[in-house]
Amino acid sequence: MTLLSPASLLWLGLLGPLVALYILRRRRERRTVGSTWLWQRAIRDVRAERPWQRLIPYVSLLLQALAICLGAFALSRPAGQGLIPRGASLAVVVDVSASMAARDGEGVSRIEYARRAIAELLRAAPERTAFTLIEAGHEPTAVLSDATDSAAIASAIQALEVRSVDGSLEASVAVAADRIRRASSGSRVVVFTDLGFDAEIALPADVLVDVQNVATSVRLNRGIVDAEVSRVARTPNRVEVFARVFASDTPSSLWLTASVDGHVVASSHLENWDATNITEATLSVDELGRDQLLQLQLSGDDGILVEDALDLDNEAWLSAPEARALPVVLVGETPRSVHRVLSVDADLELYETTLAQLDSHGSDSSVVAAIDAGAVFVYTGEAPDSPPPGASIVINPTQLSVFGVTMGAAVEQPRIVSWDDTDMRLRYVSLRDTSVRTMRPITGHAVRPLVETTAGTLIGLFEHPAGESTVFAFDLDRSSLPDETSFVVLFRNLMERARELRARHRTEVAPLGSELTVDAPEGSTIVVTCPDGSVIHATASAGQAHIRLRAQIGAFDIATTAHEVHRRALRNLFAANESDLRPRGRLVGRDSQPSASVSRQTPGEWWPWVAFALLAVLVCESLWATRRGASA
Amino acid sequence: MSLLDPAFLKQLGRIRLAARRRFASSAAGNRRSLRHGSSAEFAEHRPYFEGDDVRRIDWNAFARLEEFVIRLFVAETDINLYVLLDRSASLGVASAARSKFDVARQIAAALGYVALSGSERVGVFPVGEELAAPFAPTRGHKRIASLLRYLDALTADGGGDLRSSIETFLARQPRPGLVAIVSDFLDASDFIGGCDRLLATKHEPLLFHVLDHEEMFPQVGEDVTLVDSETGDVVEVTLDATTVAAYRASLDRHLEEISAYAKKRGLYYGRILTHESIDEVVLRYLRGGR
Repeated sequence: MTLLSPASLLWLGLLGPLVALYILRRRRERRTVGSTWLWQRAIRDVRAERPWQRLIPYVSLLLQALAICLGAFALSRPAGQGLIPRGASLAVVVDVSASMAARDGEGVSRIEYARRAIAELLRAAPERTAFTLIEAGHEPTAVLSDATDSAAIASAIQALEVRSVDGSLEASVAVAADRIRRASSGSRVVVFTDLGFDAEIALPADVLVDVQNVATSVRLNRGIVDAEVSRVARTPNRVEVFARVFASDTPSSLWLTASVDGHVVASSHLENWDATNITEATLSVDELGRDQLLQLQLSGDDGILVEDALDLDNEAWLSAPEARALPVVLVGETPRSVHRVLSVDADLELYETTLAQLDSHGSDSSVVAAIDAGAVFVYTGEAPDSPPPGASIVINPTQLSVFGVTMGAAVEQPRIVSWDDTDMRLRYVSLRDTSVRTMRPITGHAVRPLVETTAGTLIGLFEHPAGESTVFAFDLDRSSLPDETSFVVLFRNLMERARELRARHRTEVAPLGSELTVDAPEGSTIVVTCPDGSVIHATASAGQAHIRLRAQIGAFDIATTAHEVHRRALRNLFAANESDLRPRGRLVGRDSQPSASVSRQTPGEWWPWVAFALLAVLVCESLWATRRGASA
Repeated sequence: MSLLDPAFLKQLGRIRLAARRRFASSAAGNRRSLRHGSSAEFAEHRPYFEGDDVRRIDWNAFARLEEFVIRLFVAETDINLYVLLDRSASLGVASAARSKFDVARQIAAALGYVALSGSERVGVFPVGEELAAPFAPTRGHKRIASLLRYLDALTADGGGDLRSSIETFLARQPRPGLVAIVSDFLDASDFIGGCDRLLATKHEPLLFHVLDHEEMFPQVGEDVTLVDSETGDVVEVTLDATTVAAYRASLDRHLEEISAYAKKRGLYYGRILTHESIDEVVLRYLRGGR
């Protein structure tokens, strides 16, 4: 039971004046009589027959005091627990952390229980109750704010789903409490959670907060709580996988298997569970290509994948990490200055080949491996018809056009007139005193000029969907640039840009439910294919698109229609506190830890009944006061 | 009202006149004594008390009634009238213009006036916690004024113990006579035992019971605190109908007890309320009523 207007209990203060008045009023008249022994005998006779006669002088006081108590109680608006009175607001906070996806023995998830309970709560609430729905995900998200449209509310409730690893329950409750503070009396916050966290959360003391634990049962659960993959030194494609696994029952027949493209490539028997029900395992995978994904799964002795309360932690997806060194493939007769400046960079691995070898796939294996690892191509003289993915450099092209960019007629000793020092490639680069012997100016609108001369574009940037190419329209060895400090800076900037592009086009790994950010031209459409095959469309704005992914484990394929760029995002649930499905958290309220099973709330304030009782008492008091023989 | 008030004196004259006319028509020149003595004329039977002369037992009556009774004969002797006037504080309570003590004094004055007027011997003995200074027995109508002045000076205060006062009175060994006990009989002492002692010593008690109207008929009202005028005892009572009815029942039992005793002993018992005139109760006695 709660009191919706507890301040009204102050009316009980009338009991003091009532008792005082009664005492004063009952100051009896003193009468002197001849003798009191007849009266004493009479009183004895009366009390012998009716023992309750002693109370008769106090009946009026008791009835009046009872009337005051009932009146004060009625004014305080007593109500059943969880009741939403008419005109009040309701703010519902729903824990949408991963553990809410856990299913009970009947296959009903905790989030489903929460949906049902919220719907039940709304059915019991009066019409036009202002409803606020807040998802306690990684950050509080207000899905609905003071909504009264039942259809919209129902739709929002049905759309509730698990979103992220860990929930911002405390912050979400604070947001909800802030909404309720401004609402009318009787408004409350209702929190639906499975208490699957290791913390004590203090609930606001000035707002009514009900907490409903939706963890109706705790089933067996095993999950991969952490995993990472690293390359083995001096072996391009060999990787080692380190994983940590949680099991609520510390089983003896649990295996961790690693698969690539659906084929099991490694497995490890899980044992030696520690006190926190966690064990570690290491797997070695001989071949994992740059663009391949490694899938980790839990299985039994029979190889059958485990089925337990929570599916989200039963598998994990990993991608091979990048090598520290950036491979650079030199194609053709690379200018000595360029070869020199690249070879002194310890973070670069240089490979040499020819265009003919590349075309005929005759490059040696190291070159192939470097290419697979996302190498930067430096073409000198001749370049392929289409640019490679990622970053590339073309020096002194001999063709009439490079990647569709037209090269002009040779010009002797052009004079550099300007350069774009705002471009990161030319950061800290000065070409003021640079002289060039011969150049073939780059023409066409497809190239963005970086350095201009009196004869045209000397260095330009050609951006294409797969990456970008920096075109030097002159022989670097036949210029003064290699002798300048800016030359080293220029190529360091180019390699940094290459690394940037390489990283951007690699696979992004983030926790379950993390938002996906895709760089894309304004207005372009991004299409995300989720692990379950569903598709999400988004439009880029201000050069980016922020996409809210569903809570699924696996690889999300990302494509932009504008440039046909393909990327991947991996999402895993690596959280031991989510895999442990036991309700552990404490929400400490005004009186004690509230925790209730999901149940229908019975509507109806009590004040009508209390008021009826008050009227009955007043009637009794009136009858008593006017009875025959009553005081005058 | 003062006993010396002309209006009261006039009232006394009327009472005496009424009593004398009665007495004058009933016997030529002689006053039938109110005392039973040894003469030839049989008067009546009364129950045998310890101390009575066993020769007076009427054996014929015993054979019939199987109860010891003695014969009483009319004696032509002087009448000694002793008035035991209750002057305890309970008689000072008044809910009307006259208090019980006022009425009691008037009764004593009326009896004394008639008796002195008839040359009878009259003595007044105020009783309270103890017997106070009496109006010594005397005769003659010239003593009427003294009697009235004596009675007028009396006040009602202190406690009351009729039994003790009667014993004290008897200790004076007065000659047998009429002993008019004028009281409210709210004394918890055993006044019945005292009356029996008077009877045993050949006196004839007369019981004049004075009650206040409010005592007789208390009204249903508020919660009150009743204070005993003599003992100071306090009783808190709610004057609801039930309690008042219980009090009336208790009072009725008490009155019935006195009345039954008087009837059994053949004594005169007269009851008067403070708002009533004393004429009726005094004349009823003087005319031979019981």
